[in-house]
Amino acid sequence: MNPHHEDEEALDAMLNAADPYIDDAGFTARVMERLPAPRSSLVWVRVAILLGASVLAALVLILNRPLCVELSRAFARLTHPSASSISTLPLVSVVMLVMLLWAGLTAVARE
Amino acid sequence: MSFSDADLIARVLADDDRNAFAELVRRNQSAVRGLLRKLTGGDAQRADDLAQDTFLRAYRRLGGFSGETRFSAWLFRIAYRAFLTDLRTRKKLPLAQEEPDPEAEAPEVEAPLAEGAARRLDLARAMQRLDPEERAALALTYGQDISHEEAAKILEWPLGTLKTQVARAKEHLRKCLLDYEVRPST
Repeated sequence: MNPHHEDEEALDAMLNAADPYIDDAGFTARVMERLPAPRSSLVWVRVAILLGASVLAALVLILNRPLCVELSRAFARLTHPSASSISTLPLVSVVMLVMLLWAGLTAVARE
Repeated sequence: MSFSDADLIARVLADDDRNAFAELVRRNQSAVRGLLRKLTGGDAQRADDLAQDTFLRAYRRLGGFSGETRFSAWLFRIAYRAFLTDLRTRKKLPLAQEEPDPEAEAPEVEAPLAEGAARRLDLARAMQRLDPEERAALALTYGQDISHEEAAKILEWPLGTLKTQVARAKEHLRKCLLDYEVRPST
């Protein structure tokens, strides 16, 4: 047999020799210790922030009448360009508040 | 009842099941640490540090695992990148440029075992003298139960480049091993 071929086979055999199994010896435990905090402990923080932001935005809208009126007029013009009547403003305000709170609840539900 | 890797991954993604992830680590730690020990030229401490980083990155990126390759091959890719990042950070000269420690000889053992143990030691020392790319080519194509194609994807080399590097590395190894054989023993 070709000596070079024999050398090649011998080298391949050495390289292919199974590496000894490396005992875990606490390795997995060390990895698990370094994992970030479980997601569940962070979910309620996110829920509080999202709901809180939505409620705050709704309160700002309710308490700041001039801002509420302006936003309602702008929203009404977007949805019904001809509906500039003052009588539609309360309805538009309610719709905006509902949309704000709905956005907050949807984001929370996704968590 | 034994769960497949895919089942465990699904549990981690759905419920952040820590036990499932721990099982994935346990199943793959030997292979990943073994690969990194080869890449680092036998530095077990450094290899284990990189292996920990590998599994942490895997945890964070688990949602990106498509399932097109085996989970172990995906881990090897992360491990190899961690090794490259560490190498760049250290800005270390390739180990190939270091001369092997002449006092690091195999201990005297009974004749039937000495040959095998000495050969493994010689191989380990010879591997240290390879370039990082040569070591990576051999580490991934031998003893890892992955195909050449998978190895090429992990290394992000064309398949032809991988085969060239493997041939070059083996030639380099052959010369080193021959050098150890002809060197008179003390």
